[in-house]
Order: sequence, then C-alpha cells, then structure tokens
Amino acid sequence: MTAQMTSFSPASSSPAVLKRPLAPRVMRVVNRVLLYIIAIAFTIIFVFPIIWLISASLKPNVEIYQEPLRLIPSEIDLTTYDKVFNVTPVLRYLVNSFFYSFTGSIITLFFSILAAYGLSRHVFTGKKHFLTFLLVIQVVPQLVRLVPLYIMMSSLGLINTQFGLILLYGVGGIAYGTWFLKGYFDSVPKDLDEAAWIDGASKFQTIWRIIIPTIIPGLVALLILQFIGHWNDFAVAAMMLRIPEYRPLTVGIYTLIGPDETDFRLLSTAALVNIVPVVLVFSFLQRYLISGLTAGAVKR
Amino acid sequence: MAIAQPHSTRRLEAFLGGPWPFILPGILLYLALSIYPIFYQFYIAMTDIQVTSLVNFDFVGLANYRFIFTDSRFIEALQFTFVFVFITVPVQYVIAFSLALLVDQKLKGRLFYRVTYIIPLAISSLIVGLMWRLLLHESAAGFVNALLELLGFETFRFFSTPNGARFSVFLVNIWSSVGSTMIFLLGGLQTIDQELLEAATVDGANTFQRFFLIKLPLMRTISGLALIFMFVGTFGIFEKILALTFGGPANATFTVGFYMFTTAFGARGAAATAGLLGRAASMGVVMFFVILIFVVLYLWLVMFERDER
Repeated sequence: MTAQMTSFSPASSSPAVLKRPLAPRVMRVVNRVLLYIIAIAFTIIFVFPIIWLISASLKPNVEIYQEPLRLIPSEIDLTTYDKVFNVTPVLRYLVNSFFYSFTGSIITLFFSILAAYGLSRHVFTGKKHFLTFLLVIQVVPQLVRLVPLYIMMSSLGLINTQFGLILLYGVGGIAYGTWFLKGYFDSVPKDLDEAAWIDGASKFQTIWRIIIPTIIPGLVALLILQFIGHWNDFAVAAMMLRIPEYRPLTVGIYTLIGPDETDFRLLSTAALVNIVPVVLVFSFLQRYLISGLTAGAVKR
Repeated sequence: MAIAQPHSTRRLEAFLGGPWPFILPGILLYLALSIYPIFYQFYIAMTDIQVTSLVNFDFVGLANYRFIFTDSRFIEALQFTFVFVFITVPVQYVIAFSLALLVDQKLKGRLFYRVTYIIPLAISSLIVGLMWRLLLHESAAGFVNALLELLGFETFRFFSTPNGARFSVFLVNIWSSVGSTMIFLLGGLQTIDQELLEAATVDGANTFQRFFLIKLPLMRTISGLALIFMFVGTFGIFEKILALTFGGPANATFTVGFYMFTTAFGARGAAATAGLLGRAASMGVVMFFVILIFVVLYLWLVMFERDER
C-alpha cells in the first residue's frame, strides 16, 4: 500500500483513479471479450451434437455421406420419421418408457413422503446416523447389484415382467427421495402440524392436507429427477426384460443398431425421440432441479 | 400373561405413534432390493450359477476369483478402468472448475451458458455413446473427421486403433459428465462470502491470489465430494462403452463394468445367452470393494464436515 501511494500521489493533483493509464482498460475489454468467446464456444460444444442429430435426421440420404458438414439440409426429408414411427416399434418403446418412468417415480415419491415425515417429525436415537447412511449408500451404483438382482427377481418370478422393473425403479430411489424430501419437510413449521392435530386431523391427513401442498416444488423436483433417471436407464431394463414388446426406448434403440449400424438417419431420429423430451423438461425446469443435482453438498 | 397384555399393547401403541410406521415400509423395501443384493452377491460369486441353470448349481469356493485374476482380459479391463479414471478425474475437475468460475462471473446471459453446459446430464449414457458413435464415425458421414479435413488436419481413427478408441471414450465421457461436476462446484462458489472477496480486493489481492488463497481453500470439502462422485461415476462406466466402442478394437476399451455385464447377460445386452452369473458376480464383488473405498471416504468427509461446524 505505501509503495503504491508514493508512486501515484505526489505528481498529480487530481485523484489517481481518473488518470488510469489506457493499457489496463484495454486489457479489461480484451478480457471480457475473451470470456464471452470462451463461454459461447462451450455452449456450442455442448449443444452442437443435438443440433447435428436433428440435421442428420432431416437430411436426404445422399447428403449424409456427400455433405457431412452441411447442417441445413437442401430439402427436408421426413422419410425416416415415417419409418421410425410407422415401421419400427419406437412408438411402443416410447409409451413403455413413459409408463415405467412415471409409475416408478410415483412409487418412490409415496414411500419417500412417508419416511421423510417420520424422520422430520420424530426424534429417536441414531437418527443422525440413519440420515448419513441414507446419504452415503447412494454412492453405490446400480450396476454393482445387477447380477444378484437378476437371480432374486428370477426366484420371485418377476423377470420379464413390467411390474418387476417398476418395482426396482421405485424402490431404488427411496434412499435418495427420503433424504431429499426430509429437508423440505423440515422447512414446514411444526406449529402447522399441531394446529391440524388440535382440529382433529390424523397424521395422514396432516401430511396430505397441510405438508404436501406447501412442498409441491420439492415433490415435483424429485418426481422429475427420478423420471429422467429411469427414462435414461439401460442396464436395469436390459437385465430385466427380454420380451421385445416390453422394451423401453433405450433398450429398443440399442437393438436398432443391429448389424446395419450405419443407418445414420434412422439412429439419429430414434435417438432424438429419446433425447428431446427430457432435454426440454430439464432445460426449462432446471432452476428447480439444481438443488437435487447437488444433493450431498447441501448442508442439512 | 394377563399382566403382560396391557404392557405389550402399550408398547404397540408407542410403536404405532412413533416414527417407524412411516419409515419402515420404504426402508424395508430398500433393504431388501438395494442393500441385501450387495451381500447376496458375495455368496453368488462362490457358485457356478448360470442363467440357464438358476436352480441347479454348485458351491465352488474361490474358483471364480481364481479365474478372473488369471484372466488377462479381466486384468487388462481393470488396468484400463483405473488408467481411465485417473486420467479423466483430474482433467474433468480442472475443466469443471474453470467452467464454474466462468459462469460465476458477471457475464450477460450467464444463466443461458449454465443451462447449456449441463444439457448432456439429461441424456442417457447409452444415447450419448450412440450419438458420438455417429459424430466420430470413420466413414465419409462422420462429422468430426470431415471438420478436421476442412480445417486442414489429418483425419483421426476414432475407433479402429486401440488408443484412438480409448481417446474417444475419454472425450465422450468428459463431454457428458463435466456439467455435473461444474454445477456441484458452482454451488460451492456461490456460498463464498462476497464481502470476503471484496475485502481481499481492497487489500490488493489480484485474481490469482483471490482464487488460490481464498476460493480454492474454501472449496476443499466440496472438491473432495466432487472428486468422490467423479471417481465412482467414471469407475462404473458401462453403457457408453457398449454403444460407443463395444469394448473394441481387440478388447482395448474393455472396462470392468462392461466385462461384468457382458459376462452375465450376453454380448448383445438383452439377448438370452448362457450367462455366467457366478463369474460376473465375482467381478461385481471386486467393483464393490473399489467403490467401498469411496463410500468410506465419503462417510469420513460427511462426518468431518459436521464436526467442523
């Protein structure tokens, strides 16, 4: 500080700030411009592959090989869309995916709401450790359980059943869901519970009428995050289901690769059917999902 | 007995009035279908159970482990997985941290950049693999090679050479998962007290000093968590391999997860082949022990963080 003072102040009568040399200002502008260039470059890197898929799905077949760099097709060719929806069973897969993802998420939501209520409204020994357990156990990926689950599901007669897959989806999310919702339950004042209790409401009525309406954003966030997770699952579905009509989109699209893997247009179109719904939901509702994505870092 | 009756009903009432009727249904299901399989796998790994003979199988002791640890393909898969993890994680961390710092700046439209950077998180790993298989394709239709040619570079063999394929897996994995680390670190950056940074600026700290002396030390715990999630996530890579390289060429991109899945459920995923479940389970146990290290580290960090406050 003192060194700067002596070098700046004596010569000039006006404050040093006004007489800032030109170079730092130019540097600042260059810095800003650079930052914007880098920011936009990364946007292109992350978004471009999807744009390219859209382009490939709409191109006439010759253009795929002759002009791979051309992003805007010379003419819009919808034959693959027709093929994907009318010849291949992609529409069937789409319906399956939606059904499994939605029902699985609802099961998670149901059990998580109950457990989160129990954890939020009661005190018992070891509660803190129990919460830590719920948090830490989520690190173990589903892939590690696939083989024993296959044998267990076989002996229960649930292999190749849609119910079996939905059950695994629903139950797999309970630890995360409980942990996630517990924070939302904690944010609802207990006075409200007591008021409801005095009015003669049962615990279930309290959950349903008092707590749930106030934590809708948390429930929707959990529902969407679980939904996207199931929608994108391949391993569990491939392990559980061998019947073609039962395939969800990911497994179905994978079988489309087949021996003729270079049908660029077909694969791009099918991939888009999988990507577009979740990317749209994810992008527009992201603000509400962030807290779920950073779970584990959130302090409770 | 007559005396015990009211006592036990009182207990029952206490139980029903407590937290457990709410917690138990979900937790019992979770224990049965998510915790129990982990331990059941230890038993399966010591049998010769197969998809085609789920009822008739023998106890074989450690034979499966003896097999996989003398199987050069498994050893190489293990080696590649570790090399892959140890290259990916630091690179991903540096890129993610840079991106987090970037979108933490007061840029116009920073919300837009943030949203676009994490778009890959919403896409299925399998579809990510498939998409990049098309983009990096070595035929005339491959976009990336066409672009390289246009810019005057030589085309790159993304799939037909072992190192080329390994590089592709590396690239695609970073592309798809860097956003999750970024959003995680960004959450940490946003909790840093702005007054602290302003005070440092007044005291003459430049950008680098503010980063290395304030931001980085304050991000210690959150960086640790991010690293753990990255390690586990990268170690379990499977679907991207399946769609991108299928373990090839010449098994160069076999990972443990990929080898385990194909051993159990066949080369084409859903195809019903004679799956060696016992052997696959022994690979699953090996994977579990590696992941356990990170579970313990995570536990330690969570406890440690609690004690600090």
